[in-house]
Amino acid sequence: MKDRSLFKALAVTLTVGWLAVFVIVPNLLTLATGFLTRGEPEFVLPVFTLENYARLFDPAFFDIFLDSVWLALCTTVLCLLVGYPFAYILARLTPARRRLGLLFVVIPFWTNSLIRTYALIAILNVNGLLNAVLLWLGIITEPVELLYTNTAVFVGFTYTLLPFMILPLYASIEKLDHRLIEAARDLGAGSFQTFFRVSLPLTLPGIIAGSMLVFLPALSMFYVPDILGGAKSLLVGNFIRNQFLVARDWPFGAAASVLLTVVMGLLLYVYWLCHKRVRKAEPA
Amino acid sequence: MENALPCIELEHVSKRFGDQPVLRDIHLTINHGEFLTFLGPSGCGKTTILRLLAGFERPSTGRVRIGGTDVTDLPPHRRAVNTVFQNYALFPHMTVFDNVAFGLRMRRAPAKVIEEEVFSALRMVKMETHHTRRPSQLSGGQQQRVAIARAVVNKPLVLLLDEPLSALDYKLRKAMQIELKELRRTLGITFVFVTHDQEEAFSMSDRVAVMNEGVIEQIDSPSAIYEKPVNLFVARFVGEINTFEGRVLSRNGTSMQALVEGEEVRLSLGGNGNGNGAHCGGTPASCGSLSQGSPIKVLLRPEDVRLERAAPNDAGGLTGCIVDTVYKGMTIDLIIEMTGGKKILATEFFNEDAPEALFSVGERVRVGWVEDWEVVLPDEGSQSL
Amino acid sequence: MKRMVKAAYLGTVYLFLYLPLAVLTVYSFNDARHVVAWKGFTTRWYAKLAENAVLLDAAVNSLLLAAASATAATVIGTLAAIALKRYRFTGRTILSTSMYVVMMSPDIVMGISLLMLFVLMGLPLGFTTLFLSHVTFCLPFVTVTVLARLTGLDGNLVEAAMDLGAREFEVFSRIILPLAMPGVLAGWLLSFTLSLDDVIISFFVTGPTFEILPLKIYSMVRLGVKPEVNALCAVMFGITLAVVFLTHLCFKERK
Repeated sequence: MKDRSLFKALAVTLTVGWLAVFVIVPNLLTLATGFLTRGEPEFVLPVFTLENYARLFDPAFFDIFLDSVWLALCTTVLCLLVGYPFAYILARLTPARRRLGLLFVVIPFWTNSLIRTYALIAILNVNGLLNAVLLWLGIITEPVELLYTNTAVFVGFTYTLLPFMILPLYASIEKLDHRLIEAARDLGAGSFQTFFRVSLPLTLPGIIAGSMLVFLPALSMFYVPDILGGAKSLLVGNFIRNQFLVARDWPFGAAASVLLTVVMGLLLYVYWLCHKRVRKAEPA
Repeated sequence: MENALPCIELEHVSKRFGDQPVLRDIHLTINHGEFLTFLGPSGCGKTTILRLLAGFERPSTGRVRIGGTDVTDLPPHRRAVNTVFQNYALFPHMTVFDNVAFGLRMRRAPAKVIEEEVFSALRMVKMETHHTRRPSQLSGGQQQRVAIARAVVNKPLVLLLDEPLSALDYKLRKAMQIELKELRRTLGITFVFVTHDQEEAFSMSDRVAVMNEGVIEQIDSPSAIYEKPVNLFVARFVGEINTFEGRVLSRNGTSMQALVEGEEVRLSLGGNGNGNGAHCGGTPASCGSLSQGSPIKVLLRPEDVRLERAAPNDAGGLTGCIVDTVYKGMTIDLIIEMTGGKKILATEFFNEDAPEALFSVGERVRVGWVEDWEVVLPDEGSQSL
Repeated sequence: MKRMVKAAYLGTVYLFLYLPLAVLTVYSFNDARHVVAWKGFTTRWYAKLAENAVLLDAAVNSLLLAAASATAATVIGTLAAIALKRYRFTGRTILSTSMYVVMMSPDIVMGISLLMLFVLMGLPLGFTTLFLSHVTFCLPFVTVTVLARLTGLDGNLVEAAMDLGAREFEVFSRIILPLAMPGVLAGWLLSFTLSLDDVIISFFVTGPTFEILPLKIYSMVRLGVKPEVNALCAVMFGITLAVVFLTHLCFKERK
């Protein structure tokens, strides 16, 4: 209807305007800055260059990038291996127990991840809980230096991000129609086959969503390596942070951010493809 | 008609959704105080016309006039019409009173007036004791009545009803039909009704517009539609009908000789306006064009069929064998398989005084009809149903 | 037997999730500064915490920021949800794409891009920049929550309201908003929590004039374990516990 409502105009202008200014523009800025040169004392000089993007492939950065990807990948896989059975068992409980169980997963999810990361120090410390237990059990004779290593960062990421894997997995597994599994069994499939041919493909969207919610933050959460990895640990998140606040090389930092965004875009694309395939296979 | 001034005028209205045509050149007038029903199968466009009148859709071409004003470009809240929705659409977070008062509040009526009008409307639908209830606490029939009150309290020029009774059970539906007719008598406003139930349309309306695929096939009083359908679609949509194939042999003014199912028969054409004359459906032009050799269809309602026992060696095209009888209390349906293989339906009143007149399965009968009661239509080959 | 294995597995994972926090809480009562061994029960660290004006200020600031951001984000986010659901307008694609971009972007990318924007605009870093950033990243979550609620709404209700004479704003205020309220409130709560929790984005857009709690904790935490920090973390964990339980009870009663 051709009604010129003030309310509608206001709603549209406000929302589109806000997002244009605070989302579109900054992202375009980041993209553009990657093509410019650093300056002193201004942060950026309007001189076009492809050097920043070229430097991304220098070993100085690229090794860091690969290390980070590897760490994030390991974290994702571990979270998946631990989280999937957990979500599966949880989804099969009685509704009352299920709600309670979910509640206890949600609590760490809502607790500030900074605090949770900090809490790990007391465990991983040289005179921390883990060492105390291992010494007491006689597994080791001297305390192990766990803190300020890549292992600590790995544990830190897994610990912080596990709930982010469990929740989407749970959502996907809960929707799984139990009758499909029964049908598969009825047709002669063993437990193993049923899982790989029925449950796994149908819960794929949950797996992908969970993986994305773990992989991306694992690449970019710089305070975990900061707290647990010390000065030695340099991952992409820290690197970008340093470029902006320490080295003052904004264009280079921007280029690295764009790389991160591209990775995110690729993952989203993969998710979208898988989601489409599962959607097509589902009955309407 | 109480007031023959047009209330609603649809001028060459058509509507497409994308490139899908939904209404094709609708051109009609509805008078003040009239009860008009749009009748047709799902997808025929009847709901779209209603939405066009309400203002929820705009026509692709054509103009809409209500009460003399061109409302084509007016949004719903500026039109003097109110709608009763199929699923009632009562506001779940408001009481019955607030629901009914909504329209008046939108017009900033003073509180005292609102109270008077709302209770008056609720009394009309016998729901005044429920004014503090919420819709979720009401039954389907009660919600329906509140929806009606909510619409009529605003004293609109036109009341639009979109299949409002389809969700109710049979008994309730019958009761509501009577209530709606009474309401119309009390209020005197124009009612535009949409339904796919032929019985409902006939029992309540002054005129019925039979629709098919975006076109109005016939718009007439219920009796005219039933007895003088203009084409095969209308004839078949409204009640049961038997169709015989035929060909004109010769024409003589208001009667003609035709070959019907292979037998030579005399058919009369051209109603003389008495209502009981045989009717040639279709446009006057097409009927006028019926001449020797024209293919025709002869239509007969089951209750207009007259049967008599066939002579043993009578195997003409208009004879057949009774293959089934269905006892319906007041009437008996007889299913007859004709010589040519076609099955027709005949309905007879059950005559307790003459049980020997009862036909039974297996008997051979000759099919006839009272002169002038048949309907003759030109056979438009493409008419398929 | 199988049930025991399942229960054991669940139990182990829960243990893993809660152990560090439990240890933290226990140590916040430990009467010792740097040693892990237990030296006796004390609440003096909590007392010290209560006296720490800097931390308390930061906590209050965080709450204020969260409340303001949540409110603004809820208003804008709700309007966005309604615009997306009901209206056709140019910029529709911009709206939904930007929402998606915000939700999916890594925090660090958002942080630096907003920093660059503010530097370009010449805005001094402080409450304003924090506020604008927080509203931006909370927005999509409000919109998604409200949209979910709107989709369940009967479309006929809006048409009925229009039929009875309501204009756009009245349709919004009398019909849509009351019926979507649970979604709106959930959106506010979600935004409040996200704002309180944020570290990375705030890290880049914060300024010296307005200190917020997560960043204060961050600077303290990088210097190693300290008993007051233990107490602080235990308190915050306790608050989260309380809030989660409260919302759980609230929504349980609704159902």
